[in-house]
Amino acid sequence: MSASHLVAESVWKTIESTHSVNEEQLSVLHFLFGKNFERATRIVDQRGVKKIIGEPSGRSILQVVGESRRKEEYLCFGENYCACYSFFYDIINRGEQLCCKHQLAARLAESLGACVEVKVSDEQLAVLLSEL
Amino acid sequence: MVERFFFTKPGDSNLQEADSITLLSGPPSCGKTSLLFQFAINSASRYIDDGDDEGIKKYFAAFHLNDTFPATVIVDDFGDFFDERSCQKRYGNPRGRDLALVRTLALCHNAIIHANKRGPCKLLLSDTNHGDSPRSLFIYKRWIPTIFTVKGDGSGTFRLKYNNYPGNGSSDSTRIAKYSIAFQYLFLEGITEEGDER
Repeated sequence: MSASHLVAESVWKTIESTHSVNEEQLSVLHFLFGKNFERATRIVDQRGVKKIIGEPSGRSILQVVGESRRKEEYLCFGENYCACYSFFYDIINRGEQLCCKHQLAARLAESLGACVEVKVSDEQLAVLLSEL
Repeated sequence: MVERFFFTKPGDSNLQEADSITLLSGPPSCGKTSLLFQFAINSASRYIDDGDDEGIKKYFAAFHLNDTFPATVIVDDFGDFFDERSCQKRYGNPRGRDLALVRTLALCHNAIIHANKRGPCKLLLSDTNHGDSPRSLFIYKRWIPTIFTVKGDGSGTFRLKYNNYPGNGSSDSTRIAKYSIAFQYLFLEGITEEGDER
């Protein structure tokens, strides 16, 4: 794991344990992730992160609203995946950036407990995931 | 690490140490399917070797619907599930195949991580490569912490090696299994440490 990744993980875990974030933590995350983090905080402030939870299994996926006027929704698996093109081209293809803004918004919202939770049946979740 | 692809005694603790997701990569006709079968015999497994990428996506999308999870899911020739032309057409993008690969691997990873909350559940993929490394290594490495590669020496003998990529935290020495294939059987010739081979 890179040093940036380890520092970020340490900050995320502290935020998760307190469900709150202070100026210093915001500053570190902004330093690590740049403008993407700024955009992520705006998405979280606008309650743009939805956690869709399948019942009874508990498997979940996050849905994050984009910043464009069209308000597209992107499915995210936290730090492992986002459906947006930025994730594919910048992160997978070019190895640049650590996370896209939607992944950052998803992580921030989860850590703060600020996701809008939506419960669906496991069958409905399976259909949603198959359309990834 | 390489031992788990060959005959082991029941309850061998080596099998318990496997990472959740593993890739086995090697050239054509180097015994990958035989290695997978041997791995499957060593654990209660579900074996998938036919279909397209949509089928695999549906399987892992619905994975949480299982009452019980298999100890291991094995997918033979994972790369073959992704047809270049149909992926390009579906996504309207010349990198359509890579896009499909990314989405499916992310789904597999999510499914296996979820299953592991209830008990051990591993995913083993195989992929055929025609050079030194899997074609889509830069994509595989994002989700697969353990990658085994097979190389042949041209005389019917192959070497199965565990590859330690930066960031996966492993610092153990690398063991190499040397094997040959005769009459569709695998013959393990020996297991050596990487340093001993030089």
